[in-house]
Amino acid sequence: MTPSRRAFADPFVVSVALLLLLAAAGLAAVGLGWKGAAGSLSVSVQITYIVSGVFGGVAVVAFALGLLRVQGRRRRAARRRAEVDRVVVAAARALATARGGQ
Amino acid sequence: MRRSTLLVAVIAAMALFPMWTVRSAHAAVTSTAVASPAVTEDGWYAPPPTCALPSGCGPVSPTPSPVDRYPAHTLHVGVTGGIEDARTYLKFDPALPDGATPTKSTLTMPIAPSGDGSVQPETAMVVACLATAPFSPGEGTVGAPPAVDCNTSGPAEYAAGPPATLTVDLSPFLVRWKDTANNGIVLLPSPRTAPGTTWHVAFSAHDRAGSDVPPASIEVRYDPAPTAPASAATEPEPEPAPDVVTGGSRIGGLLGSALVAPPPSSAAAPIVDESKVPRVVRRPRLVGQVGGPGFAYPVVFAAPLLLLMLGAYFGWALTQPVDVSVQMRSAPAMESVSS
Repeated sequence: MTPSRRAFADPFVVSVALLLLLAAAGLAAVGLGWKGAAGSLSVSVQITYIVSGVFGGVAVVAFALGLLRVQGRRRRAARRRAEVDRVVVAAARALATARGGQ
Repeated sequence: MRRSTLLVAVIAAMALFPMWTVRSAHAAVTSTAVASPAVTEDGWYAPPPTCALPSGCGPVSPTPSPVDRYPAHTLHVGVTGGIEDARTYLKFDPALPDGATPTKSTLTMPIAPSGDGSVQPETAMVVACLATAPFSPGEGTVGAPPAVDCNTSGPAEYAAGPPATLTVDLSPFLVRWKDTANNGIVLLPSPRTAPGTTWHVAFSAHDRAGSDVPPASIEVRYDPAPTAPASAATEPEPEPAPDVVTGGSRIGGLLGSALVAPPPSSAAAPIVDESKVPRVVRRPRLVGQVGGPGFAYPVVFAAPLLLLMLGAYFGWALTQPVDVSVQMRSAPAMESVSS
């Protein structure tokens, strides 16, 4: 399996890519909502664009960024666990070497 | 043999001649011509909100014209909060040849996009009324609009586009213009507009150039003055089916009346006479209409399903163990996110 294919088989990588796409879509919705509201003089139409486009887009962006932050924390915790595991293994090896020397 | 065949052919030709003359006369009477008179003058008014009061418009203070809000050479009809804020006057000359009888006349107005000022045109309730006073062909004239007579009126039917159109039946106006002066027609919000409603419909004026939206078009269908011989034109209706009771004298023509004597009237004659009366086809009448103009973007109904799928996926992805060895190689950018 190539590294890129292996990366896309990982749920972490795919979820991060999807969340980035979702955040981009939210920003696009904000832009479209702004454009629609600016293109009309009717307050009722402007409110429609702002609620559906701008508020909806901001909600999508916040959702995506929140999940990205959660994934980042999970990754950081996983790295910390891996480093602790490495330290434990190294300490065990050092201890075994010291006992063998005695 | 040959002589008898010739005799049969001559008799058949003599018998069919009256039918041919009736058909040709009928065709001459029912041939429809089409005229497309152009709009010669148009303009729209922005009545002050006080015009909606029972006391009338009252003195109108000089206010800036709202024409600056809309592109030049556009026409407008609209309500804001249930109060009329724009109406459009159109004038055209439906000159028809002498003796012509209009059969169907329509005014078709393509609706301009939102960039020209249209707001929710699919919800517009526009009615066309007779203008009883001359109007000034201006754009966004602020003031009391010229008088109208909505006893002669017709609803504007909305048809989805592109471009969406409003269509008005002009037949009542053509009838009135036979005995009154032609001051044009006015397109204004229907009196049945619900309170609080807001919509706006923009059109292209007749002198607008450089726009994809064409101006209003008028089509008048009429029957020209009959030119067929009077004897043939007196019987324009289609010939009935052969009649066994009366001997079918019409089909037979001269031959039928000469060779077939009509039988005496029987008891079935009234029933047969009644069967000749054309049956009036009655269409079911709508007592109400359920539904609306539809959805502009029906694909939006897939959004909840998409959100559900995304939620399920993220719920699964966020509960999977993170393989740090893969992340170290493939997603170094996550360092900034995690920090």
